[in-house]
Amino acid sequence: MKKKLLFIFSGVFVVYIVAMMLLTIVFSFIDFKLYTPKAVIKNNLTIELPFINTYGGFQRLLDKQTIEDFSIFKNTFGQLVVPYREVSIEETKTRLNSIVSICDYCNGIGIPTLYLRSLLPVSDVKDLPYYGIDNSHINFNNLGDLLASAEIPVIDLNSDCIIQTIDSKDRFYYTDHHWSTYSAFETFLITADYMSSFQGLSCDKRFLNLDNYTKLTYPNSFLGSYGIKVGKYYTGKDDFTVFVPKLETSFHFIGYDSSRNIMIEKEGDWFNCLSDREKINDPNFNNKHSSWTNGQSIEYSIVNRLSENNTKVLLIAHSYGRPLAQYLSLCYHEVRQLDPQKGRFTGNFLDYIDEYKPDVVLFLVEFEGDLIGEYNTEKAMDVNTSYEDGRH
Amino acid sequence: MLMSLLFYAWGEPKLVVLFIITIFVNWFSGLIMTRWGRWIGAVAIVLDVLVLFVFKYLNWTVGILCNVFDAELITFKEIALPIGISFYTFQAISYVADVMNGKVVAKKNPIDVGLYIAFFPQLIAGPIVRYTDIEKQIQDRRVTITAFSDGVIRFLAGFSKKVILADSMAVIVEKAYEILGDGELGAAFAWLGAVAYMFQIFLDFSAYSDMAIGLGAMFGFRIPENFNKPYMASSIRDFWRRWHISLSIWFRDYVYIPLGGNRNGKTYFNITVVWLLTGLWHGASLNYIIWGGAYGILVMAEKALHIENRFHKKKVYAWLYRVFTLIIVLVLWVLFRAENMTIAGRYLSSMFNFGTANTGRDAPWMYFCEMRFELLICALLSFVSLPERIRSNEWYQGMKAMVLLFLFFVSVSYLVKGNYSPFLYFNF
Repeated sequence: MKKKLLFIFSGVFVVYIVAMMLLTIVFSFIDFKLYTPKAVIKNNLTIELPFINTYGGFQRLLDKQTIEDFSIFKNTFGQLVVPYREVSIEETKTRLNSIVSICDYCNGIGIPTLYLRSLLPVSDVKDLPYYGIDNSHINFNNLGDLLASAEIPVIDLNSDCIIQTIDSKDRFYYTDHHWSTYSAFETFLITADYMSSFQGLSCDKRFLNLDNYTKLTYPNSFLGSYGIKVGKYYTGKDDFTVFVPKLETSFHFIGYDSSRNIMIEKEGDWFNCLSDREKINDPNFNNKHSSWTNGQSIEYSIVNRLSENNTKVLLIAHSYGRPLAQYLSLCYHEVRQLDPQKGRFTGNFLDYIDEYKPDVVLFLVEFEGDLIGEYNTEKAMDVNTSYEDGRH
Repeated sequence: MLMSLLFYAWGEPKLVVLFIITIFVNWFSGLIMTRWGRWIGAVAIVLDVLVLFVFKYLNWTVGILCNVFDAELITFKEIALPIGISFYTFQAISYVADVMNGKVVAKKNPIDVGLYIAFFPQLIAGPIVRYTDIEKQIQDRRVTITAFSDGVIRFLAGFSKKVILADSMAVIVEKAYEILGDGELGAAFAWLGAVAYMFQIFLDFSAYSDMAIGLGAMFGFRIPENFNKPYMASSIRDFWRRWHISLSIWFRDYVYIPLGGNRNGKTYFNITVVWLLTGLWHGASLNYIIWGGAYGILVMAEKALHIENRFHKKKVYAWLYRVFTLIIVLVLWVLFRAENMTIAGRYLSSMFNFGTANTGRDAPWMYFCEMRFELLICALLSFVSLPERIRSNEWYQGMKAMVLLFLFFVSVSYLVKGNYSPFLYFNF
């Protein structure tokens, strides 16, 4: 019996090693490049994912509460979060200068602005293992003080009574750094309502009623940016949800790259035109958040052909903004989004505003209480003032 | 032999030439020694030591001389240390010395000597094999399914130990030294880091030996054991009978005994020489010399005071001395790990700096809790020895094989994730 067992055991080992070698040889042959087995695995997510799943499963077996060398934590609900470093007030001030410049410029030419304060993934440090090591609240409060002193109109999604109605477990995906569809949708409702009530912007209010939507859920289909590091056995996969409007819709979408070349152009109803349905339906495609507004465009325009108003909304936002823009497009004639993250939209924001002439400029540029993005606003610095001049 | 040279060339594409020359010179000196006399062997050994000196100690020696004379004596390019040079040079010396002493008949076929020096499983980090250990297998080796399977099991045990355990301990150790570099290291983290390093170096090094022994068995070679539960040692001398056994035997046979051993009235001088050389063998640094020297002093003290006889009469004393030995080993590992004596001094003082505690992201209990299973398994592997009747049980062996196969797949997933660090003894 022992001999048989040892024979099987050695056989499995030898077959495994031979298979890895063969795989390496095949890939090296195909690409005319000498690969190592690790490089072959790393270059192909389909091959790599079973290894990542094994790794994550073993981490779960060991009851690990942190992954990636203590950089990502699993909170008490099982969500993966990154405790954020503390950003100095000086650094925050410097970064906020650009936002203040854009707001000043818009105010000067009569365009209202609205700054949306992102939800914090760690709503309570007690939810973290080895609690007390997240500084996102410190950054959030420092930035809040600076925004108040700069007199920028703000909606704080963390304190607003509506957003608090979403269960804290549902605000963010379990496996991703992005907020969930629920959070984005609630933010859309609050923002549209605010712009209509306080800024007098026309809005198609039929779409502010949840009864006019069908909830579509794709269960266990989303493995986000954190989850992809440990696979599906560590904390499971997320359900991906989309609220699809029941009413008739017709849209035109254009996405641009950093040189303003058209990357993608689509027409159709809201869901088919604005969401990448292939990504949503593909069971092997994990990053479902990138299906919003057809993926990774640096700049895009969504025109609502059935809109009863002419309102133009400019949203300056990182990837959180994609689902928000997609829902905002239901209520307004046109929504454009510029992604200010480093290396993305590199044009001058003020020139863009001059050219586009939006009716409102929205900002969604925070991540865990910290400001994200690089902003070219040279013109405003010349014409107007900066935060540090002390006018605010 | 060709595959072994290819293996070496993969890691050292340029210095493989030096490696081949070393093999040739030692084989050739053995061959002509029978006609020209033993002095040829002495020349070959001097050449081996000279090459080792140039590549391992020349930079360091020149640096010291520059410091002493406060001058820039010569400027030269930093010499890179060839992988495994300390190990293969010692094997080469051992072959020539054994031919000189008539223990081994000089081999006519250079492939025999080449395979002995270059055999890839133990080429990089030992064990340091003597020619007599594998002479028969070089001439006539047999690969059986049982030996092959045993080799696979041993290889997998080493592989898993290295990837899952030793590299996990490395995370704690790296963090401890990072905190020390950035500011004040509290006592709790310092001790945790020291214990983690004690486990890391044992599991890392013994894992390499396990893999070498396992691979050797797969190819029909029986490579001698290099470790025997060293942290269960009853004394410092016992520790060195259990730790890096092949190195201790090498120094005994090729340095201590040729110097006269304990017969010529210079026993303590000979011990001092052996331990200073043992320290120096690990690297060109004052840390290693002090580390080796400290062991030399402890060994001499034990010998002079007859510690092993005195303390082992009563069980309680024997256990107390066992704990004392372990603490000494742990503290001396700090000297071994630190980059220089200043850092070692700061680390050692941190271990007794009970007023400071690291908090937040540097909290030691977070690292302890997250690594509790790894620490437990490390402790079991270091301190617990299963009885022979269990180890020889068929069910136990079957279960062990299955668990190791599972851990092998897990270890590969760790490697794919990139969570690994090079073997510590690659540096030597």
